[in-house]
Amino acid sequence: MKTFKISLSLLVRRSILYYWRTNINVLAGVILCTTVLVGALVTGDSVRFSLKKITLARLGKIGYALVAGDRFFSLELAEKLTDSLGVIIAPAIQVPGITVNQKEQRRINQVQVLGVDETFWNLGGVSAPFGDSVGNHIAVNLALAKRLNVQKGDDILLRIKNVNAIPLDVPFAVQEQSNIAVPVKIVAVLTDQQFGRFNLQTSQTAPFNVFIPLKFLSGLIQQKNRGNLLLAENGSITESQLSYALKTCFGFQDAGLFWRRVDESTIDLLSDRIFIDPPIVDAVKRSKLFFRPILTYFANEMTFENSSSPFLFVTTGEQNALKKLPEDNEIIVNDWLARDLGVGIGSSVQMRYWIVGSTDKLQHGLHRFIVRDVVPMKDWHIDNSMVPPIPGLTDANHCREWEAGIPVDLDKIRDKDEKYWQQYGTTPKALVNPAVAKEMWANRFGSETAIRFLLQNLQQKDIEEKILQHLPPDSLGFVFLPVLQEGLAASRDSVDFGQLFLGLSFFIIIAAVLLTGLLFAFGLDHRGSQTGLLLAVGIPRKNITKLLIFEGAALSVIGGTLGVIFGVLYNKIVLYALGTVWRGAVGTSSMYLYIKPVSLLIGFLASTIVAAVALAFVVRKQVNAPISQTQRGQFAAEKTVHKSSKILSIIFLFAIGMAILIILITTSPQKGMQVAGLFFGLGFLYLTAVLLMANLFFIKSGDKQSTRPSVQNIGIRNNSRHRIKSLTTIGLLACGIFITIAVGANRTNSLKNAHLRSSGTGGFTLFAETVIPIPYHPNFSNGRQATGLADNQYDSVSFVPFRVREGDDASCLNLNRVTKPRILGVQPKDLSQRRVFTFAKTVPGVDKDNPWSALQTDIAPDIIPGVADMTVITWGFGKAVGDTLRFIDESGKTLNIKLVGGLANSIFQGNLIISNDHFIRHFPSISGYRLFLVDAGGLDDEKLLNTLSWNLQDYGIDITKTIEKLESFSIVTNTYLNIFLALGGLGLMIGTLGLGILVARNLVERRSELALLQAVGWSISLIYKVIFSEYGFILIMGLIAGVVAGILAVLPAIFLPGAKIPFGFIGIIIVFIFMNGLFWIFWAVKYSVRGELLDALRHE
Amino acid sequence: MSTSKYLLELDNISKSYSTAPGQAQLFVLKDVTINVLPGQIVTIVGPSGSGKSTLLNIIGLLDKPTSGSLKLNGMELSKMPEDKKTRMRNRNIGFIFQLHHLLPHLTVLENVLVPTLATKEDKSGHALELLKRVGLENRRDYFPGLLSGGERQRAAVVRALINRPQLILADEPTGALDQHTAREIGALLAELNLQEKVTLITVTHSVELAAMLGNIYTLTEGKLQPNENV
Repeated sequence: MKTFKISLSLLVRRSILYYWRTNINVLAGVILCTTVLVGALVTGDSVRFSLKKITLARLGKIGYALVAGDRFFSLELAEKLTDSLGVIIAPAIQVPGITVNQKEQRRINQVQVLGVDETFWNLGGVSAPFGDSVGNHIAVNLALAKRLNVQKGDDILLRIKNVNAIPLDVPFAVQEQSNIAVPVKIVAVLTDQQFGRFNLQTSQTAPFNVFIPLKFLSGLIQQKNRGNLLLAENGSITESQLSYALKTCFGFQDAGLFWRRVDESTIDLLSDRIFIDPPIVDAVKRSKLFFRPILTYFANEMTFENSSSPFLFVTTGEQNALKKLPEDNEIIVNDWLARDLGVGIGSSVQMRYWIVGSTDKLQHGLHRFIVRDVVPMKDWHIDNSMVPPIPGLTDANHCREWEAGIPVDLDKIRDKDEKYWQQYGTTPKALVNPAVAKEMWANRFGSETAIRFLLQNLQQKDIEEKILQHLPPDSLGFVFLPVLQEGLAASRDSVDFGQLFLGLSFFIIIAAVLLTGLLFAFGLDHRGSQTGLLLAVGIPRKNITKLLIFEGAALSVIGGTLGVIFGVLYNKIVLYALGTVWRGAVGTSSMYLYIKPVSLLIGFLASTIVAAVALAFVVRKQVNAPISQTQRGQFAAEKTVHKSSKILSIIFLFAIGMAILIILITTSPQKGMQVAGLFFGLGFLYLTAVLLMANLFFIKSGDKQSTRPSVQNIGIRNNSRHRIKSLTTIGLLACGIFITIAVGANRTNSLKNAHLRSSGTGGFTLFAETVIPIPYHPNFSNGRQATGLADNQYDSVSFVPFRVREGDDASCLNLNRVTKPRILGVQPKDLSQRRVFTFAKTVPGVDKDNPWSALQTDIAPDIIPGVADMTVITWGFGKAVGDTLRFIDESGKTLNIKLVGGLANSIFQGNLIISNDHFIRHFPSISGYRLFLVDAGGLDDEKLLNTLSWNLQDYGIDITKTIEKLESFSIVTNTYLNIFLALGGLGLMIGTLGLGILVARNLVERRSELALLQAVGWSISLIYKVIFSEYGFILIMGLIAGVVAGILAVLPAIFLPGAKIPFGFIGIIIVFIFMNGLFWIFWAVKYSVRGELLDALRHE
Repeated sequence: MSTSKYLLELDNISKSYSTAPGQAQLFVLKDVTINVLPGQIVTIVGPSGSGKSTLLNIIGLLDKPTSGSLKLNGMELSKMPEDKKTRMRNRNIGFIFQLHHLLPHLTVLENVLVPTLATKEDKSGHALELLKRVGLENRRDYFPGLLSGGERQRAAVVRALINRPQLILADEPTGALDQHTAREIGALLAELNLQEKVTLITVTHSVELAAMLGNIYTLTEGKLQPNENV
């Protein structure tokens, strides 16, 4: 005969097959655990993959982008760069716009209008959708077409921001016609594959895009042959190569500079932005050229006693060319002005002029001068070359045609003024000291209106070259950003849905593991005598342990393998849900399945190891029981309790009790978010304490001797015999309820207390955003005119306006890791005076009573303070209060914004707030306001909303009630909570199933005991009643422990503005768990008393 | 090397349990003393609760005495480390229980070979020989569920003998069998004792089995005394 040796593997194999009923249950537990783990990890991979795919879809072959905003460069720059680098460099114009489907009266704001040429489509790897057309033929992307309900061949109205090179806040800039409307025909609707998703902003949400021929758009906004966006192919070039090439190709016209010849030997350097940017003046200074700065301003009037001369240019002249500079308060006037005013040398005159104040409110400036000299016109060497071109002013044929960006009362213009205009043009009438002029008129856009050069040994070209050598393009904001690299990094570091789902599935995993252990333990108990036999026949404990662990491990591996397959299926369901019912969490339906083998391996290993460890714990406990007991299958009884463990339990209990007491005495739950974590811990401590108390109770009940045992007493004693299993079941139930309440209570209800200043709405009524900036502060007269609220009935309405520097949406609606969020500039006092919003956290040193004032502080030359919503700080930026975000400001310098405070759940999600002063210092060219918080001042909200919507429709206003805005952010949070509750609910089902199994198992063991009760005259209904009361103890204990712990944990949430504890929901959960528990007990009792109960007694 | 002529020596073995905190100790065995020669049969009878199984567990190294000395082949076992006891049990002692305790998922042959798991020796030949001797050669590939009560217990007997132990401990070996099968098992034990020269200590309620095996001791209230009536 063939030799035969028995082996552990044979025993494991046979055992697994023989006990298949028990093992299927164990397998189910492991499968569930692995499914959830793998599903979560694959969900993470899929979301990351989807974001990467979206990034590639929105950028095509683009690697770098230069966004010049309001500055326009020559299209030649793109050609030069292409020649220099050998990669595609596409010029484009990007302007905000509004689209209107007039047939259906549908209007979409926040549209990205892109003027593009063939090279752009090359970067997308597709052909131009409008062929050779340079007319008003446009292509729209699918997202816009759907929202606007238009298709190919339809006509729509396109309204675009009139991007004037002169920033709106520049004095004298014409504010009129801030947008242009043009009817256009849709010739193509572009899908993602056709590059329709092009977007430089990092977001998974498809933008609304209008593509229009570059030539047509540049003509429309009067920027012929110019562009404000450069897109570079992601070829073999590096950022530094691009930067170098840009510097070498960058020309004067790209900086908005131009020359004006004064005479044969003199030329003036002028800017199309009226004032010459400070970096350009710096470059001129560094070029060591001989130059003469000029500052010329348009004053409202000059007065002397009762006479007045309106509207005159005043200049500093060629500052260092003058023989006699006027002293500080001196003025030199031409004799025309002297005659007009009746002044002579020594007269004291007063000059009035407009300046733009810090709130962009035009303010009157006033300066008094002593006339130092009166110069006859023939000797007045000041001419109109001193005045820079100012559209609407210097190009007017008559004074009455002036269209300046300041109030000009044309009625004041006299015939002699018109005559002067005709005879001398814009020739300034007075000369002032340059230092005084700067003091009066210098602003964030510059302090010179021209720089004069003498052409002696140098030609114009030489001067240009010398200046350009010292003018890095980045100082004017011309910086190529590695958008592809940043986009991919943002998608890589995006919200980790893997972790999120692991977190959300935490309870279900714990429940599955505990249940697996419980089922395995019951299985081993059932086979207890076998372990005893093996011990009795001299198989070493370690071999038996190995055998049982191998068995558990084999089950774990089989379960893990099946779980991996189910995990992928589960992921498909999750992705489907994320694209449909849970779409609120991701904001896109573009989710693709992506499986990384390493994630499957991690999920498989993690769950099998956790399950194997849980099973090993059970095995260890059984194998280490005394042999004489095991041999009789007596390990079910967990009577052996060491005195030390009792003492340890009491010490722990005492410590926990003290900790709870200290927290309750010293910490007020009214501190809300700041103490939320502490109270969550408090709930958890309480839960632990209850389990310890239950443990001690069971130990005591087990030891208790009774002369007259009751059935209830027998029941409790029986629970004590299965102490660990009873505790596990109580723990499962309690944890489930605890987590459900803790999570459920964090659902926010934006409607509650939304009127309060401390709430997430700041007590404001409306939240408005415009596509085109409103140039004036809407609380002042010009702003009132612009918003159409000049009527007295709106006097009580007030605004808090914000400047906006575009960036990525950092709200929870964006899944990508955002590093360059949208920046808002605000006057801190507008918020601090109203004492609005609640700060969840601030850095030390911030005035708690006036935290908004922290925005005004100067931390360091390149560090300014900022405030953001706490959710954004944590999830959007992946940072904490006190951390710093890095930006590049308009002058190409690094700007660090330190997060000095985090707001509790507010309407500012997605934004970073800095002070207005810091904003205009670092982003001077961004003019006007685009975001507004509106106080209705007692007016009807709806009526005001409609009025503003109507009045500001051409600005592309989107206006909502603040509570609705806040509610929109809650959707994401509440979707996460829904996911958690769905998975947590499943975990709870498992918890109550555990209770059912415990009851069934115990009752099967006690069949003879129940039979005896029947034999001595107890009715079945009485037995049911007693058993229900017995196991109801475990159910109720789990319920009470979970509910109290949950309530402790959510105490701070009760005090949060806008928070609403869903008592109804919690009540339903508790009732559901109680009923479910009762059902399982009922099922278990029914199962165990099935058949003829008295037979059990006979078999005894 | 032992010089004792006895295979097993029990000297004043006592075993007591504490029932509850503060309560007096409950003595199950009181100063049990007995010496057993190699190949000898010892049959222990006594009423329920007299401590028979406890005594057998102590001899089988499944339980520890509260006091007293236990020697096998002259070697003191009561203070032996657990792993050595396990090895001793595996090599020197065979167990037969009232219930056969065959592993339901293993065949008869595999069940018989279970004790060899510790030694990893190939004893399949010996197993087959023993199975043949007890008339189970045709049942070697059967699972226990397909065997009769007597066959199961015979398989259990073979399992006890597989490692050629010096001592067989049988705890109510016929307790779960009908009278006819009980008689068969009794005869088998006696026969094996003769053929294998193995020492057999049996604990039983069965007067018939006790009479069949002989050398009867009675355990009453923890005291072991030779039964001179038989």
